[in-house]
Amino acid sequence: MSVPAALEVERRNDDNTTPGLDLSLHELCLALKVKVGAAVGSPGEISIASILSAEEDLVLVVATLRRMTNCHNSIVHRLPSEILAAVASHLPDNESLISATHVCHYWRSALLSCPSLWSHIEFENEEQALAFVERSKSVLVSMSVVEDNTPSETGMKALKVIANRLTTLRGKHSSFLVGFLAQPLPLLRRLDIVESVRPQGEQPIPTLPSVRSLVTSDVGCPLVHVPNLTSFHFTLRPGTKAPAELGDGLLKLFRSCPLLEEAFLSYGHYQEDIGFGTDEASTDAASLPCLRSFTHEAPFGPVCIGLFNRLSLPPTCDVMFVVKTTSWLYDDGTWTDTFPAPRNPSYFFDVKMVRVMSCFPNASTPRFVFRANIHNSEGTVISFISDADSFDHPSDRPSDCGPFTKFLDFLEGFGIADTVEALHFERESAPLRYGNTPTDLTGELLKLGNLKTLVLWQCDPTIFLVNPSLPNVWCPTVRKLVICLPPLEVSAEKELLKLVRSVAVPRQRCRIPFQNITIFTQDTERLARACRREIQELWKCVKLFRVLRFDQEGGC
Amino acid sequence: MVLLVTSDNKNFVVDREVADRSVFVKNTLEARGLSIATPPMLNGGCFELTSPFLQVLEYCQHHRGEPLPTTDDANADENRKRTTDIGEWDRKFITVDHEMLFEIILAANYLDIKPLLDVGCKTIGNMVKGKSPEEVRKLFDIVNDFTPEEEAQIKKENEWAEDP
Repeated sequence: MSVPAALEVERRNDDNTTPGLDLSLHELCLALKVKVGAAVGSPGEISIASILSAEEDLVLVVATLRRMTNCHNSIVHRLPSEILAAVASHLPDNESLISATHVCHYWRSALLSCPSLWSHIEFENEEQALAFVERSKSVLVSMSVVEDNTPSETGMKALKVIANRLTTLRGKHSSFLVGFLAQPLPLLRRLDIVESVRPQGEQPIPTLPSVRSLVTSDVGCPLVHVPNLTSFHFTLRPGTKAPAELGDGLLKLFRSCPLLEEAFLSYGHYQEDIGFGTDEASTDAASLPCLRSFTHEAPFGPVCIGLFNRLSLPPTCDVMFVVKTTSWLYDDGTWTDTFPAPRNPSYFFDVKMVRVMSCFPNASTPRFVFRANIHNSEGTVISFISDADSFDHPSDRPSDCGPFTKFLDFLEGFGIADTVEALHFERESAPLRYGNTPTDLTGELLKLGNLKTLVLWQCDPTIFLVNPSLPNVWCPTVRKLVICLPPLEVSAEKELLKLVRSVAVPRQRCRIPFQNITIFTQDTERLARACRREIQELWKCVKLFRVLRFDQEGGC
Repeated sequence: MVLLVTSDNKNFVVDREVADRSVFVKNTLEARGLSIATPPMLNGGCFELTSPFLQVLEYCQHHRGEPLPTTDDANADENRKRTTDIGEWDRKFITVDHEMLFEIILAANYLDIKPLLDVGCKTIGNMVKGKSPEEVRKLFDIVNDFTPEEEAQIKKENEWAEDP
């Protein structure tokens, strides 16, 4: 009996599946030792080939014995191979996956026998990519060709194998990609062009009827024709100059994709011309009847007005309107002169909610984000977000209340300040940003004559200290107040009292009851203790919720 | 209420809502039209059941009432893969020794409680990620049992990373 065969007998014996064979592993090894010892004593009778062959056998025996050790010793070997594969599916990248196959024989065989683990092919190393192609057997795959590695001829041939099961392709706009896209890719659903390295010369434009989602940073030079596209995501990286033909490229793409349901555009810098023209209404607007969601992230001004005038959006489409910079707000108040009124009638809107958020409350230079959900006359929701790159607060203008005032001016300029129903302040902690006297903000809120809901989300309550000269006019229309207090410090009681008094006392004076007050805090008992009298007397309708933990993004 | 009996003959009476977190138990109860069940004889003899089963019950109690994963969720699995985020409660819950962790995973697998199985798999994934094969072997008490052929192939694969 050969040694490996004997070991196999021993293993079966151990499992009690073959009663009757009584070979102990230890006895077997002893016998082997004796035999080898005897053979060493008579080298002339043994050929070198048989010695080497015996050595190979022994190496295998050692590997088998170690495998047996793992089965008996390591608790991780109790996991069935499909669970081990499930563990590997949560590994963050292909490197970790490959590394896991180098742990032991069981892990390797379990992971190699699960094709779906090998379905994310990254073309960084051709040999590795081809191994993934082989290991993924016949499952659907995604491929990423981000590096500048052009596959060899052999590689290209091997990659053709996956053409029928490729669902996602991510890569640079390169000659390789153009060539690869020229073949039939019947299951390709998503195409992600990460960076444009336009190949030289005229390139064919393949039609990809199966593609539903296109992510790209280059539409000036159309790479593909995607007639059945439902999702389009365009981002020009910060610092990249928009090509002059961008506007035309986008409109061409919109016109060729009538089934588009979702579009996201992010590009441009302040007042940069990207080819949309100005605010002149177009006579041949691109019609997108299926569009459900449109996000437009760009500088606000003639450029985006130009785009909106060239698109025909269905009334049911949700529009998120993100303004990247608000530096135009600081044009000495002249923005109303340079801000053209749009001619597209579907552009007129009412503001339903304004959100003011300080992105970096501890930064020396304040940064602001304004958000507003805007409804046009047909009920379309447009969200307005204004992300200031930086605001140098004009300290030489003590009466200036800062960007919030400017934003209110913008709303008044459009005659829509009265339409604001909700105001959301988030993580605002520096009242002086609004002027030299914190009470200025109270007066500013009076401009919102129809404000019904006020949200103070992790704000410093002192931003709403009431101007003693305006005791009876603190947000007289607000009926619903939501307060989420910032994470409490030891001395928080004082701040809580300030908040309670700043809100409750003027309300008491003007005798306007809130209908609903909701407070989120980490310590409801402390709040109740600190503000018992005010709560009892004034806040009959208060609801307290306890926040267990604040996350870094300000949620809880 | 549902009576569950483990293979080591321990009885557990739990709310139906808690028991239904296990697809295995839910299907068994629905198939038999019973309000009291005496299944799951879990994988008898492999491990002591009461201890991991208590842990599994604690998990089901905590997550009672949450929507069960649907077929759509299963289809979305691909998107969730390669994430190792674990909720805070789940992370504390699964912070146990290796022996218990593997038993919880086996129980979750048998009882078909996919969210718990996911938490267990992610936990092991987190333990493995960023570690060299040798470090993983040390962590789980594994010896290198590759044959010379396998070693040669592994050596070749190691060159993939070095030679992009």
